[in-house]
Amino acid sequence: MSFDLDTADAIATAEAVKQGTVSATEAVRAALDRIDRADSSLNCFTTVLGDRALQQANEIDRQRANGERLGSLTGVPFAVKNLFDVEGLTTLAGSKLYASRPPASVNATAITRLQRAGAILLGTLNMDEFAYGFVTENHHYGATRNPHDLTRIAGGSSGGSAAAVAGGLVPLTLGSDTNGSIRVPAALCGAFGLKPTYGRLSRAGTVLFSGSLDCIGPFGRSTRDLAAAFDVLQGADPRDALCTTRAIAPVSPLLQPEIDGIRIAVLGDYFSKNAKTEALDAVLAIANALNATEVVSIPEAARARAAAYLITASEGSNLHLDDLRSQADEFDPATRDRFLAGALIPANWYLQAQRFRTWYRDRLRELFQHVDVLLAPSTPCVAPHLGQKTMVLDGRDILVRPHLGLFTQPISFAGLPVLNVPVRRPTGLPLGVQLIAAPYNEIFLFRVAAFLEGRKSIAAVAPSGNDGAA
Amino acid sequence: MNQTPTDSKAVVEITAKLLDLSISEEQMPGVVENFETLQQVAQAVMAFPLPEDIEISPKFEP
Repeated sequence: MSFDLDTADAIATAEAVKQGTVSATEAVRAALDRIDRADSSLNCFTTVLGDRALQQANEIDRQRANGERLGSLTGVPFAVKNLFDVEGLTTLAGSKLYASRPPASVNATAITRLQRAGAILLGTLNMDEFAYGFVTENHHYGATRNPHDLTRIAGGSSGGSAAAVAGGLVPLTLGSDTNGSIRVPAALCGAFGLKPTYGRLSRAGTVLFSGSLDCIGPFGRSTRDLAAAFDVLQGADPRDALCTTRAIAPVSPLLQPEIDGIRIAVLGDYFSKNAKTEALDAVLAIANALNATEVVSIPEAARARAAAYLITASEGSNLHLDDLRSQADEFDPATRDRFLAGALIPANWYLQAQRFRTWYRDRLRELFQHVDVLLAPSTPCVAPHLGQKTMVLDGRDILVRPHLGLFTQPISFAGLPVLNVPVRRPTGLPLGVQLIAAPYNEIFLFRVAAFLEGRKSIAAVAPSGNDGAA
Repeated sequence: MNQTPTDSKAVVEITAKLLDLSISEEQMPGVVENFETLQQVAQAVMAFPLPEDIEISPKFEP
């Protein structure tokens, strides 16, 4: 049977390139063909770096021919949310305001590290303006569509990153997550997505949104792909003062599909309300697969979400204050008034939210004395339709946009690592479950995900019946 | 904290002036609406009694 580049995950692609089953050039050409075929309907890419990618592929093929040492992601095409600096490109962060800025002079650290492992950058991806949103319906660059149903959103703010993986355009992408911007689109598109521990991966060379909460992380179609990317991305970085100086702790060598000794519980109370039945059923299915019967609570989760909301609005608005003063109407209408209002937040609201964060963090530390992995829905529902403003929940009309982060915000507020796993469902659109661990315990998440994948409880499912490539 | 919509508009206008932030008439209703949402959210945070020894983490360590 011939090797299928269109469905292979990143690790399979890298192994095939290293063994000579396919060349890096063939891997890149196949990805460019898929982008050419499908991106006009999905709208994931804002820039495609075809020539540059083919040059790097050619260099990798030369290195292989010379018997040089090859990295763990050799020949793997990848793409990044367009808030990552790419040398020679203007970093847009989803805005028109930044379009006239000079090109970046160096790559973001995360890009450099993936390239050092042999991965090949194919381009940049669509997002909500300045990462302020959960929908990726960008006023300037268009909406990114869900590969499973082109009439629905991909989620956001890293919508292009999720849809590019789920739609089969590239096997690996990078996004960022402040309040759920990796986990929400990963869940709605049916992809794996990792929001690491706050401060664990370098954010150097990315446009920040709310520095107190911002993380970067990978999207992929398998647990092992995310593990490989996470391992490559780890490491101290003097360019990001927040980045941890802890030793790199690779998870790939520890990816056994067994969960003996890992204490797993389901989050109840706040995390079992205000959601469609199907979202709660997805958690139940994963809990059953893991034989997890204990239900635990996080105190003050709703207040944590409120505090995250204030910190985000205040810090985001402060970053863009000059532009809000001089050219507010150049912002996306979906973000402009939110940023303007956020600029007016009194210091006491912000400071109290930050102090509450410390209190809340201490409660989470207590909880993790008794449990290793928590389960919660990633979103309260499947992907809403493009342009949909409200949805009915428990007989009430509620706003779609802010509600999509209901279950992700209280978790990232504590800086915890989270892996969104795509739940296998016999019918219907994708849904995800958050696997949540204590800080720096990403390994537990990967082991549980590998176990679930082995049992076929989770999988990134290729879309069918539309113009998606895979 | 329980300002009327008119009060909210007044707060928005005077705080914007303090920040040299010009908010047009067209922008104003959306900004006021968003500020009222922030007020509502802030009420929950401000109502929580925090011990005096709870301080901000200058570099947050989870």
